[in-house]
Amino acid sequence: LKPRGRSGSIVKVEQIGDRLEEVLDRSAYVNINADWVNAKGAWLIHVVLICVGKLIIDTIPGMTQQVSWTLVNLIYLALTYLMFHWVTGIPFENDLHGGAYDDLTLWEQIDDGAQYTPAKKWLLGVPIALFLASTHYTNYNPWLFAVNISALVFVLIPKLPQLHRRRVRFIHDYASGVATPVTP
Amino acid sequence: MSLFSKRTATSPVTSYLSAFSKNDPHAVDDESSTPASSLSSSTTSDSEDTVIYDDDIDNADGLALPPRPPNSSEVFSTVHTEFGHCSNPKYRYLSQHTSGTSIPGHDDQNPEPPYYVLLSTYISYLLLICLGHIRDFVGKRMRPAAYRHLMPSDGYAPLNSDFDSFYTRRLKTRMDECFGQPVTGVAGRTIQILDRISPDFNHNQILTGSRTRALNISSYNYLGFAQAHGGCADAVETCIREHGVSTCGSRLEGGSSNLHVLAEALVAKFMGMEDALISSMGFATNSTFIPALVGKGCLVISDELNHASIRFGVRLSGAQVRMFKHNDMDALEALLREVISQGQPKTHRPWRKILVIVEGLYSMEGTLVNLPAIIELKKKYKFYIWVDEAHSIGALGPHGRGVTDYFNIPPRSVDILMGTFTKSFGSAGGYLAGNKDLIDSLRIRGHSGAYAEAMTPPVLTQVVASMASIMGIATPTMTRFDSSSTLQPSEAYHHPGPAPMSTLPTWLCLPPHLADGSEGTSRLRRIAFNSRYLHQGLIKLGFITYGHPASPIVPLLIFNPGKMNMFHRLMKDRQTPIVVVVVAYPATPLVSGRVRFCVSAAHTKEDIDTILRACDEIGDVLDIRHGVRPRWTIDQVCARALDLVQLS
Repeated sequence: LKPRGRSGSIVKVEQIGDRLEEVLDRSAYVNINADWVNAKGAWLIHVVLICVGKLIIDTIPGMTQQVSWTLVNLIYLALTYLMFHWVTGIPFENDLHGGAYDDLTLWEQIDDGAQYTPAKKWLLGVPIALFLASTHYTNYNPWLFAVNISALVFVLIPKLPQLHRRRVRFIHDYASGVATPVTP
Repeated sequence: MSLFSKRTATSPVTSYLSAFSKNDPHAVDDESSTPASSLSSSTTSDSEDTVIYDDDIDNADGLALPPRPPNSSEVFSTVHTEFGHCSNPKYRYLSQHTSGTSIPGHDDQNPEPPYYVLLSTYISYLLLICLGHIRDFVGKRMRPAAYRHLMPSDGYAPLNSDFDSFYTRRLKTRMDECFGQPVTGVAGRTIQILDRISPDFNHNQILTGSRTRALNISSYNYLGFAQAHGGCADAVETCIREHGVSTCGSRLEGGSSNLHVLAEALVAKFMGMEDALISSMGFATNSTFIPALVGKGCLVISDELNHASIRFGVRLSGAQVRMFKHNDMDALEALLREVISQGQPKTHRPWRKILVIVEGLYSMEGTLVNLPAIIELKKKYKFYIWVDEAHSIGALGPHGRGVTDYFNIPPRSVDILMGTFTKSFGSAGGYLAGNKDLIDSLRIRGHSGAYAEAMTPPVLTQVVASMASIMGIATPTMTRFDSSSTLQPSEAYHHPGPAPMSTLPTWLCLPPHLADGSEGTSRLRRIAFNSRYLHQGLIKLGFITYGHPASPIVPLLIFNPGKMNMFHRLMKDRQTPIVVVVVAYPATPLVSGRVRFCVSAAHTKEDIDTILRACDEIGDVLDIRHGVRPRWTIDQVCARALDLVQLS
């Protein structure tokens, strides 16, 4: 973890590397934090939760279909972004892994980092399907369309294989490399 | 004098028992036997070791006394609360693999529950995680005093990371009454738990001072050697007088004694290998000796579900690791072809060593390793095998020699047989058995030889005594040499067979039923019967269980995290309390939370009936029956126990 020299740009894309000990630690255990996406019912739960969310949002008085579908889309994208692309590490049993996954988000942990796996294809397809449904029900209103598509693009970018283990940093000096994050 | 302190033939218990045995339809049909008129058996010297006390026994929970009193032809030498009395010869089964039957592979062959169970499990975890995060967020702002260990203060980092401990604080604490139960007394067929209550949602547990005797289906006690009374316990007491409590040193630095050398030779004979070494801790046997065997440039191929001690040892060694899908021989073969053809990463040089580590019996799934297939692969691809028989040694096989005995494979075809004494021998520690050259080298190069303390003599004596009971002790025979007759003790050992008398310490004196191996054989057959009966009984009642029918570990799937706590509590609050072990995520995969039964030879068929009845009632309350149909009723299961055992 060498501290980087100052670069002139405001935004930079940084690769988080792995050392040999972390590779060995990762290959020694099955990562059950990320294994459940391949279990039975893990794909269906997305559909179930979206339907339940839509029903709940529809109960708010004064809700129209356009706003409802947009809200479902945005909330789903926000929550899945938080779960798959923001939080790093494993919330239990760190003495087994020795911090080998502390820099990896859940997306990067799925299937040991392999790309184009069925689970990743499904998780890529659900936001797209939800976006298509929301554009249909908003009757292609340009403002809502703009909101929806920018949210979709924002969420799809970290799912691309090119961004595997790469972080976009804005004017961060992040040299300390402390494994567990300090709460603010 | 009070009515209950008189020990006369007309005491209420005696008359009840004699009346009961006359009318009992399940009594053994032996015309010559008479109902017991005196209730104390005199086979053991200490009359308190006996079977039944006729006064002051509270049998409200049905655990202290056997359901059917013994008649005069049955003589028991154990205490019923430690090792159940069962002399019915029909409740025995031979533990051997029938050639031609397939060994179940990975989880794809297990029945799947309906979708609503899985979806509700995901939703439960989602709800728990969201609630946990909300409570953390609000709590840190509203009640910072309770969260001081999780927040930075005075410029110092927090004591615990709130993210790392999230699961422990928010999910495990809700179920904490199932974990960490304080117990007292020996963990045999029954165990005494210290009751406790929690006024503040499991953050603090307060002992109430009372004790409950419960049926123990949660301890690793496969052959029932967890006894405070009996031949092995007496041998341990003798040893303390002979050898003391400790040898005060590590094995390579003066802590070795002749008892250690003798015990290692006995273990080697038991396993059928050339030599063996003993380590004082089971976990450390793996974690300190795997680094001595493999290192940088070697490859370890380990099963997905191997124990933490194996992975710890592999990580310490610095060798490369690859995992294959649990018990899947095709996946193992594909992996072998890949790694052998590719060689080391980046340089593609051939590997220095390839070691495949598997377990004989997996403790969380109850599956048996497919050892015949691995031996075939070994002949083809020429790798080394390490079999960790922590759970299978003593519990499987017609002679109790483990998974090699079960599959009738010569033990020398496996390179290293490792095991622990904790589960079947009522002791502690672990062993490694292999070639003499290998073991000699490991003795010096393993970490525990130089740095760990030597096994303590009393624990070692329990190992020796229990092993001798399982093997049986060969009495020396006389042979005639030409015209003069000389007494030649039969020293040669044939695996598997009884241990020669010269391999045991001279002061070891086991009672005759243990020394001739009859009790050992009976225990082996009892556990084979009990494990198959419980397994098939649960399947016929409609539950989903994993694992091989021969395994003494029976996991029963519960799936939802909320049901774990209720299952544990409902089992504990019955008329006959039963303590069980519930295991949830992250020790198991997310959706397969389970309760894990550990069957023992100390249980009787009536105990297994009690457990099946309890599961039946609780299964209706909690809706955990998602197994295959057709199903039987509980009375059908109890009545047709012998048919069930023959099914597997």
